[in-house]
Amino acid sequence: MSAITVNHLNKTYKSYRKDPGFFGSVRSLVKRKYENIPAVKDISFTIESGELVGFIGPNGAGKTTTLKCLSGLLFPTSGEISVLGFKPFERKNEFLKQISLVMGQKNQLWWDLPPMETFLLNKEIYQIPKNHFKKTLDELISILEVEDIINIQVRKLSLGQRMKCELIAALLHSPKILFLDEPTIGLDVVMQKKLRDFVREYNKKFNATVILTSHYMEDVRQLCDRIIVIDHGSILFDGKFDELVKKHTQQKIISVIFEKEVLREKLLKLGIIKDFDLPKVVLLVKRENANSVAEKLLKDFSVLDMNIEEPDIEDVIRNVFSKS
Amino acid sequence: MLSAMSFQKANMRYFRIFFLQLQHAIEARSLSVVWFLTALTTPLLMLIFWSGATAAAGGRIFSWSYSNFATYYLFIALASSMLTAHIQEDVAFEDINKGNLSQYILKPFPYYTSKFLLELPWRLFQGSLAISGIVIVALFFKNLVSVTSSPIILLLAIVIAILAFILSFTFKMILGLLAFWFTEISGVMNVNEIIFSIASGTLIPLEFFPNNLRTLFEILPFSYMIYYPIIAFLGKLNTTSLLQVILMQLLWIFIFSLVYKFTWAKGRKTFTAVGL
Repeated sequence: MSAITVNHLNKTYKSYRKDPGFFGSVRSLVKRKYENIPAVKDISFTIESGELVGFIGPNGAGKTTTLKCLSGLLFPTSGEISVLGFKPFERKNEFLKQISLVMGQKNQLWWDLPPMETFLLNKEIYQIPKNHFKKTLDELISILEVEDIINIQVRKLSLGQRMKCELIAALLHSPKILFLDEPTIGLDVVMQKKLRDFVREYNKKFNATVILTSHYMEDVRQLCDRIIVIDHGSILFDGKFDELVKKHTQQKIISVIFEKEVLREKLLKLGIIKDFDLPKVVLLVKRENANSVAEKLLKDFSVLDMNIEEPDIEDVIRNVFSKS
Repeated sequence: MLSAMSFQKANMRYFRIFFLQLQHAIEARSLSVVWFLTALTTPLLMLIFWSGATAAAGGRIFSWSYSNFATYYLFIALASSMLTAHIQEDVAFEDINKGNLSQYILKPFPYYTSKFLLELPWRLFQGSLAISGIVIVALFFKNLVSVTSSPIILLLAIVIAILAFILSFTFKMILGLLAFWFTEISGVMNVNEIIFSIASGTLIPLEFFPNNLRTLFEILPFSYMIYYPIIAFLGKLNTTSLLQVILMQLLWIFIFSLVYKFTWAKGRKTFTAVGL
């Protein structure tokens, strides 16, 4: 059985529109103009249990709205959602005990108390058996290396420390489905990597289904086998990461380090020169020609080093969005 | 046997959650003291007013002596800090407008109960401040503090006080939930404060109002949150009247719980979980 099924989901926000300035305010006293803003438009997808799926899209694309609908925070305007066989909006206890939503910008930790108190509160709320709680907590604490801080007031912790504790609070009840909304926002590179490693481990160890949204393409590239690209509320792509790259980039990048000086004109015949800074040259070539160009380079020039690479992921995504 | 055990377990859960919330209230104790002092202001001002008025009227107004007034307002201070819930701003501003409600929606625990357990420690904490205040006053002015000596009336008065808190809490929850539809909810809350302070007896004892207004206030729920709990403790009602008060409180709690359920179900559909 699929863990998540979404059929023709629509979510429209009703928003009140005010003309600018004082007279705009006065006018709105008498007559208010409301506008329907579609955030998600007729999207459908299925996610199997144990999958790790990344949602990519620019701000306001509909990623977070979809996540909020899946976790039961929002009432869908139309369409059907089934998560572990439940309708999320109904908030059945059995459903809520199996999911968790972690939001990078919002926290559930009690600001004035140490994280441990929130953990204990969650133990009661989720009715986690004592032994299970202790085991999971010890495990999470050691993986995330937070032994020293769980008894310090939350307000005194750094952003990274808080995020780690947020994750612990969200995972104590061992959710089968984990929604992560921008989990690495505001974290430094080292912390980002740690968090990514942790998410991957959690996914593998518990066969948990993880859905993640992120602005950082690195997060998604490193973690997710499957990505769903959303823009303007619609799905532009749903599939494997490599497929996206293949589908949306007709080119590959060949970077060469030459032994001797070469003429720019000679290289122009092989492809587009992206960067010419001898001894290093970066060429953009057609995907299907990549191998033959590489052969030619090795044959006709004295090459010290050569690499064939996929284009930068940010460029690929930009390419997808500019087409939409 | 098994069900008795799971029942006990479920109760422990509420107790533990309540206990954690109590820790929080103690952690923020300075805030609690400030709120308590705020609750004290109106009764003190009214007491100064009535002391002048009773002196000018030759010692008594409608059979109320100055010491009757003093007792009444002393208990108003206690009731306002112990029985009146202030959850509406938390619900409207923090939860709905700022989007904190999401955290509650995601948890397998009812929102109403969460908020109830959040509010209760504050009331107990401030109530204990008020009770200690009353004990100190009683030590110096014995005749000012005279509660009923009948155990049955005292027991019924305690029931009335508990129901008054539940009534006040449910009403304030509904008031807070209105923020689902109105972004600027402060106006509604201020209007409520004005009506409440008059119709609950916080400003002036209800017996001083003209008959038709009094009848109206007896129908409205506000007097059952402050006025009746106080006069029940002061021993001014007989058993029949006390039971009538309880009946009215239960009726209003029933009505409010229906309104709450309706508002919650409707409002949640409009919730946009902003700020995420």
